[in-house]
Amino acid sequence: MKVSSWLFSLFLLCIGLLSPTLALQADLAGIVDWYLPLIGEPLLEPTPPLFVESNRIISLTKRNILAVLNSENGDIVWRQQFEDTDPVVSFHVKDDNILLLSGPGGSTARLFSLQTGSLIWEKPLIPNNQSGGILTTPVHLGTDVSFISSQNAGESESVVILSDGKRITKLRLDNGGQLWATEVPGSGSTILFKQLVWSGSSIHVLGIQNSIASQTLLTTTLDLELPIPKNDLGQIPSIIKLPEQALISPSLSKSGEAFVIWIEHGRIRIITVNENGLISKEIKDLLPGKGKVYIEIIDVGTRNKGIILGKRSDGAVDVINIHKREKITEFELSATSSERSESIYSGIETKKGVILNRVYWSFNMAVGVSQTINIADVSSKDVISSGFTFPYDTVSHGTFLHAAGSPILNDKQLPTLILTTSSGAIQKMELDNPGWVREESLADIKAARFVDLGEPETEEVREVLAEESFFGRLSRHLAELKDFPKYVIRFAKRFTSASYTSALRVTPLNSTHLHRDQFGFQKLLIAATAKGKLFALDSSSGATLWSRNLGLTSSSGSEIKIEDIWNVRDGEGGREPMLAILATKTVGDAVTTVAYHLDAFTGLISGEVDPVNHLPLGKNLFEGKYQNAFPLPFENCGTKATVLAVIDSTNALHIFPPCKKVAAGIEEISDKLFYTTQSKSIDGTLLRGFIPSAAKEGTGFKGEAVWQHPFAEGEIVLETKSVVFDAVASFGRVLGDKSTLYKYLNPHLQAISTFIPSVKGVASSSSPSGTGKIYVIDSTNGKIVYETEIEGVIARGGIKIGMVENWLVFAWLDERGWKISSTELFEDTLKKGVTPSQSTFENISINAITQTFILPTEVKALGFTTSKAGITTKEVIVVNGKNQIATIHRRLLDPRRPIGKPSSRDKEEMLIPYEAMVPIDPKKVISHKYEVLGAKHLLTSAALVESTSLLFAYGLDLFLTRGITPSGTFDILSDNFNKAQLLLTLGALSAGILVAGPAVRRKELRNKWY
Amino acid sequence: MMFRLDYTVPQNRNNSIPNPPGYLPPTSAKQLSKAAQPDSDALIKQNRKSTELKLRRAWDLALAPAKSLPMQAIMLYFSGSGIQIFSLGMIFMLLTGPITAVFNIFKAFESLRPTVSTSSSFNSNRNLSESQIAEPTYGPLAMPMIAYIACQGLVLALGLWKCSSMGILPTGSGDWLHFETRLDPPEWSSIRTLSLG
Repeated sequence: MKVSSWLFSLFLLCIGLLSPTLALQADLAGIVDWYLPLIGEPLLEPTPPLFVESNRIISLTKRNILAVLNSENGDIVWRQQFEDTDPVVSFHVKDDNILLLSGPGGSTARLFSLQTGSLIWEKPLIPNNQSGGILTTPVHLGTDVSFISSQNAGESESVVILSDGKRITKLRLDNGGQLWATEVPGSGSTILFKQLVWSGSSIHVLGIQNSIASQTLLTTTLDLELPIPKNDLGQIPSIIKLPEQALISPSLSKSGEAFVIWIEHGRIRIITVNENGLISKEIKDLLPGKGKVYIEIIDVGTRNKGIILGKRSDGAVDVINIHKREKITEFELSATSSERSESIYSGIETKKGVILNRVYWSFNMAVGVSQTINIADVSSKDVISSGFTFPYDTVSHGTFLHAAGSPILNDKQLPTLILTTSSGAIQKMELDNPGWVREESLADIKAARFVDLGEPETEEVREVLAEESFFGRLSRHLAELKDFPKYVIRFAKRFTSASYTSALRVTPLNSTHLHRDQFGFQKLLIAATAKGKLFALDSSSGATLWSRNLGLTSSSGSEIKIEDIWNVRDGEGGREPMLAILATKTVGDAVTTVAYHLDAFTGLISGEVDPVNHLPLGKNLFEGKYQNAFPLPFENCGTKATVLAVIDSTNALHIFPPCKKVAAGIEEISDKLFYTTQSKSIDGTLLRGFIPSAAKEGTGFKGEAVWQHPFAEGEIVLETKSVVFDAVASFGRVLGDKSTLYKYLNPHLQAISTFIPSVKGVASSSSPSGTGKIYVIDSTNGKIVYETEIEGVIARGGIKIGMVENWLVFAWLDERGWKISSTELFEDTLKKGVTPSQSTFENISINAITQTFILPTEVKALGFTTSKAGITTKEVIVVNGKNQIATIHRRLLDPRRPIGKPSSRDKEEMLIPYEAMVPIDPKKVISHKYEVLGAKHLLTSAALVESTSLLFAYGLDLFLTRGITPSGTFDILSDNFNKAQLLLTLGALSAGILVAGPAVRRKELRNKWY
Repeated sequence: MMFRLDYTVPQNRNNSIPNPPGYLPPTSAKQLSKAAQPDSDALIKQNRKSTELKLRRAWDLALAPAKSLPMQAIMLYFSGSGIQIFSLGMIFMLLTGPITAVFNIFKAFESLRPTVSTSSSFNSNRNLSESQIAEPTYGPLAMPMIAYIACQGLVLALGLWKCSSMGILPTGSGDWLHFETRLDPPEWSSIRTLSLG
């Protein structure tokens, strides 16, 4: 009885211990990493973001994504990314379905479920034998969609699609079955059809004919059931300037009819096309008696309801009903004025009517203003106007580009707006309730850097430490003594209960709490987006600490384009860490390279600010774009920041910040300082190496070419990567017989992958094959250290390349799949190695050991892990075909893996016998359940503990993990380690010694006496 | 300053208690020499005999490690070349044994020191020789001691051979790789400087 109860309790104990260990890995999922799915900036033409009922926002984005957002919280409900060769064109919503046109000329139609995002059907609209679609500007010109509701009960709904400017396809909506397809008869090279509408038994198509002087409109009408034109092409005597300024709208009153509306000589003209395709004889003014007042027709997506906007020459906008041929109302105060910004108009169709929105920025009041005109029923004259103002941060978000209004208004007749801003943000706006903000510019990060944080203690006193007298410090320390008990308690707590997982649960950073955790997992991540916006993210959670705009953004783009950033000063010694930013500023046609210094903690840019818009001015370095930039081994005398070298288009070297002492230093080492530039010309790419020579005031150091490497004609440079050369822990590789293969360590190496198509000229197939070449070039003397050729590379995959220390890895696609090659460069010597201390101008023979493997997955990006001292194994990180981020075990990619049976020496070296296939281990997938779409760049940084490396993947989605431990967590106690038990044991033993010690001594003394 | 207490009970001069049978009362050195004088030849003979005996024993002692070599080799062979507690223990014994033995060589041979007496010294200076007889020396043991050291060296060599076969001797360049240092590269390039920031 007793024994069994004992066993039972033991069993319970085992179960209790088992469950936390099993759950650990899943527990770590949200702790060691964070993930931010993004969709990119919305595409505003031709179908801007649309707010539909059931709280969904549909949008196409510049990153080729169709996304559906939840309007309540801004989360992504679902998204679909398409291939680069299949650009999205437009989307059209019908009930619970989204029809998407994509490809050149709208060559593919797909139907998605709005609820789930699942693909219902996909249909190519242009037959395969026809090569591609025509190229139009804008790309959506010549594509249109019209839904046809079922004519008879039981019949499926259908859709007619105009693609390629001439091809009309009628598809069943339920399964995508083709009912008919035709090329519009009479279409030729001068005629482009741009819109179609369904009305009654006809499909009216509006086209544009290009003639020498101007463009004229024409129509054709097809039968709904059969692709037969009902009549000849109907020529409309008209002159139009822009294709956008003409549209066709179905008649609501008379089935089968349609109206063509265009603008000509300041008047909006209208003509009727009847069911049989006959054009009415006379052209009418839509609004007779108003004179030549209109300059533009604005179609806000409501033409099927017969509502268009007409912009007058004074900028004011009228709401016009085509069917009634009258102006219904106008937007109040919409005339162009210096008191407000340009207005943004949008519209949405409701069941019977439309809701029109106008949004502008009021300079006077410094608020955003929204106006809404609700036409509940287009057949009646009732119009409800309403409006509200909202706060909006123009400095951080720029101007409005679009505002999608909700189809349902609240009880105050106000809509919920979804704003798209020029800084790339999507923002929800309601009256008195600014909602969520999606910073979609983060999908376009140009450069990112980790900034190490200091320790809490030094952090808190960082202002005082610099100039503090001895007595001041003494009194401060005495004053701080009151914190001592708290410190002791904290220390005891940390000592007893701290573990790996508890260390990973860090407190979020904020402006007052800016110091690292115990293991250095928490850093500041500074990300610079292409549009000139900077973000500081907490590496532990992805939360934004601060964001800052460097330049103005507007509908035409951004003034400032950030190119790269560098850490130029660390946070040691109580200073704020500093970063240098290089950007190109475009004002009009003038392009200048501008440099900034950024305080990583506060986001403040040092230097002058523009007196008008308070944006930092930065330091103008030179005209034109820069070719190359790199930090110099010098510090600025004042700021103690590393000086940056920037190479202008004439290959001259400029320094930032300018400093005479540094310039003198550069002159001193000018024969030992090398830099490269890559220039493209008609003869191919040329790689050149320079040294700085004679400095001139204001122009920097003139570059003197010392070597050049011309690539072959037609050789396309795919990737250029610099060797990663941080901490080198070991100078060689010890073999089984204890001899050493000395690594060829050269910090000047540049790895380049190129591609030469086998067929010259424009390739006929979409993905030509050819020869790939890999070069490893010493950038000091231009010598090719290693070179290899790959046959049968397929261009689509590219050649991904990476090099760390002496280890070169490259992956490519050939006919049979993905391959990865691993090469290690060693010094070919039996004596002691000499690199990297020897000059690169001395001859060193190199022994390259290479092995190639088959990889079962695509490689979208390639990178390496890093560590503080370089002792931990470096592993290859890849973004695989499933958009997962995975590491590949170093030993699997070892080029010394023996072929055949391993010898005892190989066994001693612990080499795994060669196998062609390198499996992707599911345990090595570090992004676990997340799909990291579009990850192109992998940025790694070392934690304070040697075993762990941080990884930030960006491109579209953001993913950051601090859980990569290629050699295991050898320097961190595991969670199962019972610290309390150890401490208790130690305590008990100490107590035992204390008790037993005197007793034993007494006994020994007694033994001596008796 | 040292104090020495002699607790031995002084001899009873009264002779009231008879000595035990076979007990010879201690005699002075003079008496002893006087007594030894007559049969010095026998004494020399006996001395030479014991010297011979001691030398033989010294040679035995010197060669003992060599004799155990085959046995140790067999044990090493069976302990395998893996790094385990048994083989490590044996190797530890093999490496430390000879070294401590060589350091303690005088102690090991102490009891085997012969008392050397040459006839010439015996004849010419009796008094001197008397004192020489009393002092045992390591002189004749030189050869056995050298042999002893050599044999211990063999044992050590066996241990080292085992170490090297286990690969724990730092003989290759790979063992010293981590102590190697390199200077910074003399050149700077735009690629090398990327590690600066």
